[in-house]
Amino acid sequence: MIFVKTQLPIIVTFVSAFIVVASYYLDIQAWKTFAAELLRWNVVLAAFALALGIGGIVRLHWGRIARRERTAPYSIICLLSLALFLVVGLAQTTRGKAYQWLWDYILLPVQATSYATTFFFITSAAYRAFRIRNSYTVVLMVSAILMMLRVGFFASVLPFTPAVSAWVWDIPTTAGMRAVTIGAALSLVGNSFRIIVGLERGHLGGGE
Amino acid sequence: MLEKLNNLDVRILYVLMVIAATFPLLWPMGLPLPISEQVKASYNAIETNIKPNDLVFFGIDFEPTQEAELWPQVLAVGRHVASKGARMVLVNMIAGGFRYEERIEDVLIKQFNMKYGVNLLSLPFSAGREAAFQSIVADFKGLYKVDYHGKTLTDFPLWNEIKSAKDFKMYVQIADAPDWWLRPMSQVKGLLLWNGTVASGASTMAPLYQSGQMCGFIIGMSGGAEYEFLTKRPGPAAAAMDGQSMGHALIILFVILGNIGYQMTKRKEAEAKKAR
Amino acid sequence: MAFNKNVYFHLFVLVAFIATFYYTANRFRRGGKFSIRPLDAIPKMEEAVGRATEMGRPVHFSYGMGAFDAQYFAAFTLLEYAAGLCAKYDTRLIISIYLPEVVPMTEEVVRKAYTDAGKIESYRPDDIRFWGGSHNPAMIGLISREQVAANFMIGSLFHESILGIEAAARNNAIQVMGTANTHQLPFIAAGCDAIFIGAEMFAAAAHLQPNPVRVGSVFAEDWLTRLMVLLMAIGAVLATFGNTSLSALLKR
Repeated sequence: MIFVKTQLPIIVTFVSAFIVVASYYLDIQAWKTFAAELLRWNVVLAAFALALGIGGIVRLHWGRIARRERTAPYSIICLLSLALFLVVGLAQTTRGKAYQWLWDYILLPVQATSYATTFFFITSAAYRAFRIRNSYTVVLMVSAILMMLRVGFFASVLPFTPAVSAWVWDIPTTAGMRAVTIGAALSLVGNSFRIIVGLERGHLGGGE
Repeated sequence: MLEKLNNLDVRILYVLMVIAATFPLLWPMGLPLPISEQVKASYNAIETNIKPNDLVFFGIDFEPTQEAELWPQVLAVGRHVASKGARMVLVNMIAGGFRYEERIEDVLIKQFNMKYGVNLLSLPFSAGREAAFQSIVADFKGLYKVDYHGKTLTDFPLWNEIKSAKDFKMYVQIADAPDWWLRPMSQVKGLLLWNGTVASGASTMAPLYQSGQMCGFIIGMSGGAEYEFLTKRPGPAAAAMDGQSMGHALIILFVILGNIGYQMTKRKEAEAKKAR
Repeated sequence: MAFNKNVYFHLFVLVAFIATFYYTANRFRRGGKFSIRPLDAIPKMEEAVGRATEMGRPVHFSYGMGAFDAQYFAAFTLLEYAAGLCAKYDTRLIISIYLPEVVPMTEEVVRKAYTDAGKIESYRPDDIRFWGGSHNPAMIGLISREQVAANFMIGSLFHESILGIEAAARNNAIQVMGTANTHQLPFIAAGCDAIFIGAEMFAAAAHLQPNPVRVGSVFAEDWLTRLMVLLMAIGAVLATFGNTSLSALLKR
């Protein structure tokens, strides 16, 4: 059992990652073809992960309904919605009229509304966070205001703002982001290497 | 009195923001919208590089949550590419993006007389994101067997003309700021990369544009609006820019008022401390 | 052997990393001494859990809504740390998850943390909540309803970072976030009490559980970063004088 839980995943990870990574550095067609096949299997696995998610959702909400919790009515709506999309999708595929109606008139407005809460939260975050407490917050506030002034109506009313904010964008901001990106990328190389060779096993509950 | 500005009830801010953003949608103000150099350069990247019959890979990778920012970009850029006479292959790697692929396909067929299967093709959703792109780079034709509508791809002349990802002139990706598409696609030699992304994702993609890894890059609704004006077809982004400008103005006002309140509060506390 | 001629520099970076990693890991294994810059966010996490314990309110943890990449593995280490603290102080830990494939790994990590703390009976699998596409409204609702006193969001963050920040700010929660996604750094820097910027998430693992593997990796990454800076400086000077040979070399 320990072999299946810890050692087998490490072996599978190493072998498949080695094949795919090596195909990047080698110019051997047969190797590249096999690596491409493995990547296609990964696409299939990712699709199955969605099924795993459905199982998780059902388990959580069924438990709430069974225990008659306060939020059980919402769990019932959640499971009914899941069932509706599943049944209609399987019956008609995503190209069916009913599925598209559900998508366009229920899911899309709900998701857009959920994202629209960002609009309000950004407002209160800006109001709370952009205070002149020290030099860093002054820089943060001035940069944020410059970025807001560089687009739309303000760029025509305040003619200097596009040039100033373009300089702030192109030089210090992009330079800083480039530095963070390079640092994070090297860390990703390190972390990925440790996972591939089995030196990092935290996700298997096993430490190193 | 002014100290109260330091702790305004956020609900007042929310109500004012809703009014500021929706008022211009109902009564358009027609505020001027200058075109930035970056959007002009991105427009020219398509204008100069895409010739009639060039193959363009068009990725539509966003969820309904980003529709407001990215759908206008899809419309504006998709129409521009189609107007250049390019052959387009639409692709989608995000589960929620399939409807947008269908919609832009309708627009391209109706407005540009594109013939499905001859100069336009829609590929189905593939799970796996970066892994799916790696598959496209490694074995494009092996990944896809049927099109978005479920028909066998080999029935279409356009599919039979494509050998691999190297046949494409440009990859236009409208997505919510991932670099997971750029890493694999930059491996295809000679493929030009063009990106439209959300405003918050701009900082991630900006170094890649500056280094020349991408030939075009537009940001958010403002980028979409400016692109619409450049293609002489103002659309949903242009209509919403008035609201965005008003929203920005209100946020700046709240920040100024908040700082006034904060400084007054600090002064009062300092005076109280001194008095003790 | 037929090597791909276009990726020699990439191969050089990989080989340089592996060589440096083994060298530094062996040095640590022999000497046992190293120093990593103190990361403010780690004691802040302990302070946050302590405060949540005093107030009798739960701690919230989320990985964000990004794709499954190496950031999740850094997040697992920090989750194990947070779960260990919560187990030690008997504080409830609620985890919001967006990706289904991460659920079993999260259960393993948290179970291990509770087992190591000797509090396996306190482990509540129902507090590991998979939300899927409704992650954001569910997370906001959870933070508000449960009145969380500490909010940790570590991993591949997108716009949910600002939602979590504001929702938790209503409860005056202590917030610690970390991501390598540069587009979210300004938001978490403005709104949180402490943050992990990019590579700091990975270095935090070496800080919390130092062993030859992790320390070797952090040091190798550091040295490679210094090499990159040196190459950038030399390249910038050469490019200023119109010489693009280094740039051409790195494209190979």
